[in-house]
Amino acid sequence: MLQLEHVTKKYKDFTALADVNLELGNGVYGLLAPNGAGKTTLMKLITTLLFPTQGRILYEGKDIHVLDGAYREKVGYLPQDFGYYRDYTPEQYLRYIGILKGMPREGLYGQIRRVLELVGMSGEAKKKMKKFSGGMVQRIGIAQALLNDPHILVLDEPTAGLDPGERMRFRKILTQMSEDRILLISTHIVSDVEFIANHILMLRDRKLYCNDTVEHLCDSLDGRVFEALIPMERLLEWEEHYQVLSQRQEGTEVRVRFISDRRAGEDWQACRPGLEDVFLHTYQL
Amino acid sequence: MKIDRQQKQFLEGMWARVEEKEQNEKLAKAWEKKTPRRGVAAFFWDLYRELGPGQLLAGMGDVFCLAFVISLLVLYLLMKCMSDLVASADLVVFCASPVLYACIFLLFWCKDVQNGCYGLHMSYKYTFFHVLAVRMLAASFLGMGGNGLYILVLFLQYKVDVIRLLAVSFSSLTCFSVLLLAGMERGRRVGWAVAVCGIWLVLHVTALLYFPQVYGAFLGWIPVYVFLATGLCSLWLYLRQLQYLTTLLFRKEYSDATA
Repeated sequence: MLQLEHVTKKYKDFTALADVNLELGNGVYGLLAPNGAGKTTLMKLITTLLFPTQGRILYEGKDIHVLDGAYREKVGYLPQDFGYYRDYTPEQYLRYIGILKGMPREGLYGQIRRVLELVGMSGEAKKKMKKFSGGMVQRIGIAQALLNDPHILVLDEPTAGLDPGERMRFRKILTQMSEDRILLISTHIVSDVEFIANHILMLRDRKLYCNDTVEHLCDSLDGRVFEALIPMERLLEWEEHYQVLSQRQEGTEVRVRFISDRRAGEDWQACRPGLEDVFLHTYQL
Repeated sequence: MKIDRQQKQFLEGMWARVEEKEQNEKLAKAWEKKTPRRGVAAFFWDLYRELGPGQLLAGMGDVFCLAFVISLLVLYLLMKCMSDLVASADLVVFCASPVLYACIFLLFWCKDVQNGCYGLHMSYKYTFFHVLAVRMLAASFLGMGGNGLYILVLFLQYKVDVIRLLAVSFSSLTCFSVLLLAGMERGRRVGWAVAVCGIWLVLHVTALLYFPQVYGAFLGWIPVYVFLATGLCSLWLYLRQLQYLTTLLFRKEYSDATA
């Protein structure tokens, strides 16, 4: 169990995160928020890269900074900007990381082979990483996060640079892992967490705005999401009256998906709200 | 005396704050007690034994080549500037001993910044600062090795006093590394370390070129055993500071300063 108690992070006068209270048990948590809302700060606090200005973070009831290395041994982290040594091969790089993670040399090679297999990079184990594409590097980043079989896995924009096939594979890995782990995933791609996250965390105005299941969040918009086919020239007027979530041109008309408190047209089709609708509605994007 | 609901809430809130403050004080004490126990020896042993110098310094061939070229260039220029090399060998050694160490350290730093590894390494059991401390120690051994070779060449060529030169080189290198670490601690940024390197070199080169008699006399007053004592004291301070580099306190201050 990971607990954040009144966690605040300030940079001089700027408050990056304010009074966050949160309890994370085993499961997948999707962290959704627009840029600058404090997602990365929260992740850095959980991974001990930053120290809270106020409050504390407890793991199994003990402050993570008191646990220090013993806590970090249980953490796997993939930062947004994954830094690596370009001259290393994945095998060399993961061996290096394994030792920095305090893993014993015995069994390390086996674990390296296992994680490379998991991310579909076992065929590239002996090639230099400077020759890799963005997606391949990202998969090595995921492999390093999984290397120590962490209890807490923190992934900041993990699917950036991955193609749809790789993203699906990655989602499967996470689902398999989530049973006995705390997985915190921050992403802009709502579909990445919609089907695998047990809980969705949303930050707004640098505070924890909500912590709920996908179902509950979608239920909150139930009966308010509609689709309608409208002439192109009415689109601007539509946008003034309703929050338009998406639009698709169909001949001379446009199919719009929007939010309205009541059904005002007979040709409006009620839709089952998705997490993306909730996200767009919450942040009025 | 009866208290209303609002007063009760206020009192409960106050007690909660007092309890939290006490808890934080306890945790702060625990930090202080805990950090010195994570000794420098433990992680040096873990990293050198498990990782080995080969892996620790792998992919750093370009850093070593460049550092050796720079230090050879500095030595060559200093030697060219001095008319009587044998008489001024200890001046050159005192001035140039830390160059190799400084080059290796700063180039390591640049390479790590270029690779963007800092954030990721801070999330491991052995953080960026553990690796930095281990590499600084490795760089100091390489610096000593490099100076040893240079002194050997001087001995073979000019039959200079090897013991004196080794003592001069050792004390110079260790004094410099203490200053470098102190600079880093002060500024929490590599800029301070660069400034220390620059000031050291400029001061000594200026003294070497413009006041060779005074500089020579200054070093001449200090016999070998004083040089060695200075070096050993600096070594002790250097190891203590390397250990401090990996403590929570330093990491917290660094993270606050660089955030």
